[in-house]
Amino acid sequence: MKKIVIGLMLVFISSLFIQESQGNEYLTYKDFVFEHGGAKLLENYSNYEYEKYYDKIDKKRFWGWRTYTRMENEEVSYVKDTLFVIVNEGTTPITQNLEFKSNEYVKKQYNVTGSLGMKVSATDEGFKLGLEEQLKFSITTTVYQEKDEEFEIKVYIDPMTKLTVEVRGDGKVSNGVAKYFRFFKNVKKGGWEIFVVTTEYYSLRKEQIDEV
Amino acid sequence: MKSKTIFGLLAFLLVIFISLLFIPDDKPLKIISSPKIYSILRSSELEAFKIEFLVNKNDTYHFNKEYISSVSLNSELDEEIISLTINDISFGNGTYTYANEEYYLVEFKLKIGFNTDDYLIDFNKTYLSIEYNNSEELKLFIGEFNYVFNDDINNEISVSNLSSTVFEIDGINTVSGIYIELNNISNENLIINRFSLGSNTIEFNNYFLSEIYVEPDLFTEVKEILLVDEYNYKSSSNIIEQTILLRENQSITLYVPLNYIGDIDYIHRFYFEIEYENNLGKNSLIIDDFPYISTSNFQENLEDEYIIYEIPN
Repeated sequence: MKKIVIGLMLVFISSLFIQESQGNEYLTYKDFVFEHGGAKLLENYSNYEYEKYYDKIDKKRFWGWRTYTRMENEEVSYVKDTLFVIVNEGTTPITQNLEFKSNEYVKKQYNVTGSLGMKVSATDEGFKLGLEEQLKFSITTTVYQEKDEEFEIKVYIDPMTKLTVEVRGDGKVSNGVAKYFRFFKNVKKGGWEIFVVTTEYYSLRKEQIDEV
Repeated sequence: MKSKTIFGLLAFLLVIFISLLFIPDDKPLKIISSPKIYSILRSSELEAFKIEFLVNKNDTYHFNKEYISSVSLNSELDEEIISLTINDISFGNGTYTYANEEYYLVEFKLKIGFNTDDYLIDFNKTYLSIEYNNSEELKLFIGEFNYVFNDDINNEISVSNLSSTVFEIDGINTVSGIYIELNNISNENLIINRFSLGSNTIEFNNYFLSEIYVEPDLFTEVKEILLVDEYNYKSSSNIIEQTILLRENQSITLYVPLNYIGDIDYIHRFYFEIEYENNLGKNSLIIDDFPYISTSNFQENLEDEYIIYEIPN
């Protein structure tokens, strides 16, 4: 019985981690380029910056949130991991049909640090304790959608090359810090971040394989 | 006794009045369409396509498959009607705020209701017509619709690089040109003549179809790639043919910019045809509709183009 309970707990815990990773998938993107110099993701805040931004929240509250916004809808471009790869390590070219399904979506993703929490479920994703409603700017005019798109083409792959479907994207980032008070006592504090994917660009690209 | 009766009556009326206040208004159904250019190659029988709308109600029979008797694509004056079958109707998770009202994204997943191996649908102005079991009919404008059936296998040319350059019109990103690497896998030399885009109002500018040697970055301007002072997206030169040699067992990298000659000035996904000559005459390769740009069809910058339908209760 104990084993079953422990097993169930492990399944429950691992399912939480899986859901968590869907909440901030954008952290796996690379080569971020922000529109303005000095802009950065929450994960790159230093301890000094956290302290500096916490200090900007100088007023207490009987109950609820006090927030500081460091970046508001900052435009950013990025490169996602490649979606599809065909490798030809042989000595003659190969021709084959490439079929892939892309996940087309425009969605909002979240990240938190410190003692702030996220709720992640199939239908509801966001910050705990209504933090997003307290942020004094709008990031709501986006339709969330996720849909499969099929593409089929005959492709040609030279020896020692690989063919990839590369995905680049544009998004908007907002981040800052927040403190939560109960009876004037600061019980939670940390960083918050909202990442909105606005556009993605697909390309089919041939690349040389590095010879070892 | 009398006063008690009057008070009782007043209390009863007050309860009715208050409960009436809390009964929500049965608001009329609103449907928002964001017209766009559909350019689809059907390469397999299973392939479906999607048409999306924003709607202010997600619990009405209008989006329940069971209540729909037929659905079709109609040309502007109903001269041509293409019957469709519904694979699915589904709602997105989030909501969209437009004019202070909450809207849901509804997606119709549809299939053309017949099979053929070579047929082209090209409606400049297209309506999605939905008929219900109660004889009600909705006709919703969706934009330009191009759909080609093609399952030909081409054994002469294959592709190994395919990307686009993009530019922005009124805050909307759209494709400005296509970069493609073609490989001649036949046993003869081929002559590339022209590229033809699957749309009536957006076309390739074949005057500038040319070989280039470095892949342009996504945001490079067309004039920089073509080394010209200015590039006019509104000019039309689609009838021009080129003679670009693609030698046996060789590859070639080409770039061709787009012209926008219609009302809808953005396109994110489309099929196109590469027309060429072999020893026997003319032939072509059709490139499937690739998602060069993927973004929402409902966004602030497109709101001026929305068409709003209000369906009374």
